[in-house]
Amino acid sequence: MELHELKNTWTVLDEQLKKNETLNKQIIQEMLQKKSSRSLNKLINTSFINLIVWLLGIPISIWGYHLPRFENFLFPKILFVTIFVTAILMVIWSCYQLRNLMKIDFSKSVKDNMRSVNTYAIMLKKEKIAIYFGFAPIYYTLGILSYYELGADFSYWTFLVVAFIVGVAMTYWTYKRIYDTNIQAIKKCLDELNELNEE
Amino acid sequence: MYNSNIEKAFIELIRQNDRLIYKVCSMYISDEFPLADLYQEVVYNLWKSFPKFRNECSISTWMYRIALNTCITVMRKELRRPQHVPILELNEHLIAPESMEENIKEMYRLIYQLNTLERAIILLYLEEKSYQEIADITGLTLNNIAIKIKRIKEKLKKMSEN
Repeated sequence: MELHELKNTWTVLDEQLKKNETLNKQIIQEMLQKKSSRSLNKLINTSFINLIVWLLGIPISIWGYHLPRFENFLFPKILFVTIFVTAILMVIWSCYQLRNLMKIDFSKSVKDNMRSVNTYAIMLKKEKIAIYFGFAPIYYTLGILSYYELGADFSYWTFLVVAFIVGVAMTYWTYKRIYDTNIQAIKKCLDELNELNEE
Repeated sequence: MYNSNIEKAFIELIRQNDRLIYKVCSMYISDEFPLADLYQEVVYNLWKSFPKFRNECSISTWMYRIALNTCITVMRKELRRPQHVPILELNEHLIAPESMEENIKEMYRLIYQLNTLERAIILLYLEEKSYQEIADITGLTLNNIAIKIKRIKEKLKKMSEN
């Protein structure tokens, strides 16, 4: 094949590309699916880490409850029981969330995926409300009462305040930067895939 | 507001020039970097450079420059690994009439035997760019372009005979 033949073949290819709408559609579809998969993997990984953290909370709370130094104190025991109950609830909740995330498959129907993502977003919203207005105040109240009962010195109180600030900042960052960003990214890609399919 | 206008303008630009990006990417696809990945990489680099575009050259010259640089950079990284010409990948994406399919495959088979810079030059030549435009996009001199095209012609002739 000489250069002029190559040029002829190229011109024909160019003409075909002009007519070939499906080619672009296919490439865009692949791009969107890959982008969504990356965001979905980030969500799955974070949920998995959450599950491990809460699983660790179960033995830690049992161990804390049986520590001899807390034997005659009420609030530390209540705190460990609360951690134990929360950990069990959160393990079940995380498994449920993970199961919902695993249902998402970008090679399948966009509408089903949208439904799963929306369900996950609602679950996360409920979790956020429960943590901000339920678990966090209860934990910190119990923490303060336990420290008061134990007669903790200044360094322990400082630790509690720092832990509170770091905890709030970390929770806010995780929800904003990991969950919200990735859910929005998936939703945007699914909307675009939907538009592409309707065209 | 400003960002959303830029985004809209960029999406429109990509929609209008998607064939250009496709044609550049099709020259450099490999097993490790299939068409969709290369396409995405090129679009990403175009997006990064888009705010810096100052109309000092035509939009297509700018797009060719970024797209070719991206593909050549990717290709150079890939060259350290064993290469495989992904004709099958092309078959999946190119919907060609029966009579042309073999010709297109043959054309890509020949192109894949050229080095990265030669592929860029032949692409621009096939796109009917003038020597000056090819020089602007690749950053080579006019003389260099003329010599390289002559060499590519000889190389292609030799490869066809083999």
